[in-house]
Amino acid sequence: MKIKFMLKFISSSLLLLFSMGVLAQNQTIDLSPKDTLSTQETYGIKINIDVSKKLLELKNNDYTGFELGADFRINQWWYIAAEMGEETKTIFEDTYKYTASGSYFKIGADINNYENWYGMYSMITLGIRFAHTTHSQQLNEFDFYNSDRYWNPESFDPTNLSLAPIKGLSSSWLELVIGIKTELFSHIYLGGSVRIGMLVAHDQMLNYPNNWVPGFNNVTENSKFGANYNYTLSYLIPLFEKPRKYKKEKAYFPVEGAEAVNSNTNYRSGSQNFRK
Amino acid sequence: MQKIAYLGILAFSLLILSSCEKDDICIAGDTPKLRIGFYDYNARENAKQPIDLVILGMDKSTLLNPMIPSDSNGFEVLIPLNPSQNNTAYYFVQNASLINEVLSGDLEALTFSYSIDPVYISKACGYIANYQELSIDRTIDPNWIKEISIENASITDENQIHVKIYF
Repeated sequence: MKIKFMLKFISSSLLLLFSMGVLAQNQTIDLSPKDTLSTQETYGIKINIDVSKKLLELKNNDYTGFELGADFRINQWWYIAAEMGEETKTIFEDTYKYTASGSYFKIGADINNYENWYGMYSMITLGIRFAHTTHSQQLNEFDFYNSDRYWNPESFDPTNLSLAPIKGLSSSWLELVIGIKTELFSHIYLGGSVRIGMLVAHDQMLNYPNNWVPGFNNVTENSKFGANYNYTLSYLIPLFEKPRKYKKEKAYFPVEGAEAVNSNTNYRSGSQNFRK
Repeated sequence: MQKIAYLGILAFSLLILSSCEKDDICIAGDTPKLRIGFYDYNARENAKQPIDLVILGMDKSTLLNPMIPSDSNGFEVLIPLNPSQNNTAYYFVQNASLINEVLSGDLEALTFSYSIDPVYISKACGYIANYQELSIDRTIDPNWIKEISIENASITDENQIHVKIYF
């Protein structure tokens, strides 16, 4: 009795197995599968903390600085970007010493020119910013510049005169930004940028030096241009996803309609190879 | 092609960053000196040369450089005022002789008093002093100078005569 049941079980289960095999054999193999995986890319806000200013602060007693930035991805290539910060620096010149301090903001856009593999979010950006700062200057101490050394043979002429600090100075400039951001860990980026600024407005107060502007760095006399840089650590806050877009590839033969077909097939097959 | 363009921009920006600044040498200005002209007391328009004039700062042991060559048929000196104080005192010695480091001659002591304006010139120069409200005190009895006239009480440059001395 027992054996009978056992045999029945084995034979039926074997039958079941074979039937499955037959099913598998019947399925056709598609040699040109359609790309059914959606190529979604993450969009969100990247928050950038300036590292270079904090490092400078550690190295230099006469400097404090802080900068926060953010960029928001609007499509495959373009980002809205902004920074705001605060800097205080004491500048030592041969005959005088002054402290400049103020806050600034920069707003503009970046275009990412790095063609990422799917799933990577590195950036090599070219961007432009409009920047504005309000700052103040405080002359700490000064000597009179005097080429005649009759009364003070050893030094420039010291004085105990002082000048009142000047507040409410403002400067505006346009900035060209070349930046790099690379993903260290998931959602955490290390970046840096070099910026060339062109002053469009710069308050010159009578009787006061104004050669260092927060956010802009050194101002050279008779020149509108300046340069600054930063290193950043960023965190990406993912907000939504959008399908990936591809740059249109130019057809080598300008045949009507050929361009669109070429671009899609070439790139898609390329990205699919990578996924496999 | 695009990559080369970016490299170019990057190299250019580094060039700007590392280029030295041109405004490191002060050529834009200097603290002005006081220009004194010597004139004949009897014929007031005529410049007159003091004989063997020596100028010595009070409490100083070095003589001031001798008379500057004049460009206007006059006899003029440029004397530095001390920007660290509100007054500067000088001995004006005519017919001076220096024998065994002892100065003798006709002695006049003049004290120049003024207020000081710091004037910012440029990044390299910083501040120079301009002097305002110049006044002159004769601290010892008059000797060879008959009259002192202040032509310009504010000393912002040294191109024109600030003080005329008649003798």
